[in-house]
Amino acid sequence: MLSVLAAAVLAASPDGGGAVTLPAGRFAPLFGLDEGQKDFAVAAFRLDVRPVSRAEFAAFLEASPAWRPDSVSRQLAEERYLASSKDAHSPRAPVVDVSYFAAKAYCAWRGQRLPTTLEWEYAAAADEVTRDASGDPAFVQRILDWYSRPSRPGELDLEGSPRNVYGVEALHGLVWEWTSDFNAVFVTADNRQDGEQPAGTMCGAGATGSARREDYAAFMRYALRSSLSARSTLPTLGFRCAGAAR
Amino acid sequence: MRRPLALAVVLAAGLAAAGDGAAGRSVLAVETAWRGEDGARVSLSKWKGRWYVLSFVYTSCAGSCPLTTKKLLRLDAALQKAGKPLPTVIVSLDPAHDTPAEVAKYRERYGLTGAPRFSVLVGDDEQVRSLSLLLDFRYTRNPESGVILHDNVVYLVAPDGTVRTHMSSLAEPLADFVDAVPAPAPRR
Repeated sequence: MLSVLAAAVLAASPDGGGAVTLPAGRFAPLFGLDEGQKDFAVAAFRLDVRPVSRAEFAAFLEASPAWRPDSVSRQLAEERYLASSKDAHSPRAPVVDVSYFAAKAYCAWRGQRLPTTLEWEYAAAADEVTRDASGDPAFVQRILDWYSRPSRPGELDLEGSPRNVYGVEALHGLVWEWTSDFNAVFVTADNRQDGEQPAGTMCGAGATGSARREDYAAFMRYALRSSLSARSTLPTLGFRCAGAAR
Repeated sequence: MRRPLALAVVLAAGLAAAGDGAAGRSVLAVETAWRGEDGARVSLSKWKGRWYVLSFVYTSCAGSCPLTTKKLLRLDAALQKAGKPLPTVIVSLDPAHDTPAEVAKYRERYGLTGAPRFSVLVGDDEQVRSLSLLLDFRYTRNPESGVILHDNVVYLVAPDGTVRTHMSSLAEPLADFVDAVPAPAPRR
């Protein structure tokens, strides 16, 4: 317990850039493991403490005219790209209505990248005191309570958002977030057997089974990701950047 | 467990995306960089101005990839028979494994050695991910076991780089795909 707390204190000191280094570890995401596989190794990486804000994204647009709503290609962002930027939000509120391509371009502009789904889920499984609270019914219910609230775009306020054990804020409770490989395959051994997947549409010998069936909150995140296209924009979908551990 | 309202939103979004399809997507909207089998750098804009068939495989795949490749061979034969021969571009989903030697073995296995209509492109994981995202093509590589799960989609790409039609299942008949290819202009 002491070592966990010590790690939390160390990790929670962002070094100016608004990002923290998450230590290497092992993690069992809800999907993606082969049959019989217990978990994945996660290398240490850096992750923004908060989702990218509207003000930060505005600075990117200032420097990158090609990504402004009036010039971006419809191949790279839907019509309602940044539509909500006209609404009266705090400039600190997370930028939303931003496509994957734009999010990736923003992170690249900062010399960074989007987190992988594995990295994002690894970070998001932590609560304020433990690294992996995904099996804790109270933690899962707290997330589900947020998912069950209708979104009020005027209330995308970061104030009062708790820091998890790594020092990362607002992975739950504000907006959904893009990951670099969100278009991963999303099937379980079960639904393949049920024949829901038409024969021959999918290649792969190993079944990606669900490791933690009780984690309904994670299931919803995977369901949302599988419904997205890289040009999608949603008023409840933002992102944060990741990078190599320092 | 309470039933979250947001689930309805998730499902609605899923249905919308499912009906969207790949038609109209441009493989040139983001520049992707590859190496051909001769080791030379190549971009998909090399095929700009031409109709071509595009698909993804990985050469060590033991699942349905052999079937995908066989389907590409049958499609190639059907296009020839219809008087509309097209280039076929095969993109590797496993750049770390699919070395030139492995690609040569793959060609040999399917009788494609020296078949000029077929090109196999190998990039890196980021290039594959970028192209997959342009096409709404789903794939996952298990970093520890190397197992790759992926859609089985064959795309017809128009001269401007946009997808004209696609076959999303191995069971889908070839006829509609072949019909979607315009007959070549008569030579003068």
